[in-house]
Amino acid sequence: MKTVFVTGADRNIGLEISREFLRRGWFVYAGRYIMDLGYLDELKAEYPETMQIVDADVASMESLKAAAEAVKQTTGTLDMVVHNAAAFGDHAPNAQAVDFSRFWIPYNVNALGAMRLVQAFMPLMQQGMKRLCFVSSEAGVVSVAHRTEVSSYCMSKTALNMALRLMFNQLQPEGWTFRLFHPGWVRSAKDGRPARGGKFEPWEAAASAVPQFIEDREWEDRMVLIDNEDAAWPF
Amino acid sequence: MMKNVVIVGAGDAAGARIAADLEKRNCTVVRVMLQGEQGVVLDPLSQESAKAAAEAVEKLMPAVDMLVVNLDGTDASDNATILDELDYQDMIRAYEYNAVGPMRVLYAFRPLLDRGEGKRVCFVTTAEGSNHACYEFGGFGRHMSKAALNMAVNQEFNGMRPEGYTMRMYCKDLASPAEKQGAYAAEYFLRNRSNEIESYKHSDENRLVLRDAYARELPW
Repeated sequence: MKTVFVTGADRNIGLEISREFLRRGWFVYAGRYIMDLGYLDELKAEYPETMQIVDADVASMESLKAAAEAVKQTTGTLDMVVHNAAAFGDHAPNAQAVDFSRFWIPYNVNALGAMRLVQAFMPLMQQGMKRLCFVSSEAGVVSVAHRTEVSSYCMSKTALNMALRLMFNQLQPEGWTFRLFHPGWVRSAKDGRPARGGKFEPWEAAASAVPQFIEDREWEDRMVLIDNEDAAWPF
Repeated sequence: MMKNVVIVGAGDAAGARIAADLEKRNCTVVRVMLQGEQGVVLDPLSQESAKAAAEAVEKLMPAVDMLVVNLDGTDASDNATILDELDYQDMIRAYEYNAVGPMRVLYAFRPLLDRGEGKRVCFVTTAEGSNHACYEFGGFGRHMSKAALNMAVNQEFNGMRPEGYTMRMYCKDLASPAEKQGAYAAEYFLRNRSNEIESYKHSDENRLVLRDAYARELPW
């Protein structure tokens, strides 16, 4: 049975990605960050034999090392990690007063969190598929950036894509494979609010993400960001 | 006409060279330093400091035609890779300095720029921010912070270009000796680029470009 660890599995895309892997017969280690949400417990009740909930805060190396240790207790090999956890952050309207003091928060979760995840779980993945999957975003694409106000979220996703480039350059020749996925504009609950806006439901994004994560490619030595409708994006 | 220029980060080799080159081209230059106690000093990590520096400059130069932002607070010798022990706090600091710092400066100086006629903002960075042209394994703090700066400046460009602003992004040549750091920047910053108004595609001012010290365009 293949094994995957998913960060930010509490709700939205992460929850649906976990569900999609479970449907496909994978063993899922679901990273829990929001302790007072019950969706993961409901999913666990549905798949008691093939799912384990693991506390995981990607903003903390100690938390991820503890998560890796918890996973190690039940499996010798982890095939895949999915970095889905995300912080959304602030937008700064042009020429208006803005507080930049919180800009580091999405960077710490979205970009540095991906690096902490890889560092914490690489020792467990040496014998498996060695696949590293990341939910990124067109919001981090500089080449076709269209927004007209500086955004800590967009900056963090650009930084994430750069971190992945550096990792890819080093790790891909050693047999590691990478998936960068843009889920489209998904109706996601965030910051304590229910979902507002969006074109796709989380389960729709997950239904396109998981096949991309699972399937092998003949061109693993190319790092490409692909969206939920199979379109490729530049960086 | 780019008569009145402010350069934030005038103390390092590139900043000093750019300031001198601008003066040779008849600009009046106010130098803002990033450390020390002489003249106007700005701490890129502090929004209050950026605001205070802009207020101090305003007394010397109430209207600014061109702002040059030259911030680089990262250690060029740090090439740790994902397989090494990484200093995450240092990477946050690099981001705060190199990516968010220039935004603090831009927002603080925006009222002075709005009063000027030149309406140009120039950023000094390095090619380490280019994802498409990145072949390295390490130096996460530098690469990530400068990539994020590229995004931030693109978004500001999208918002400010319709208001009449133009922008430049200049990549220092890290391999060149200190006396050549900042070469060509003044020429790049001051000279207008093709800008035919009848077609939006027939203009090099209507797109933001990352350009190196040899005038070559780099991919994002």
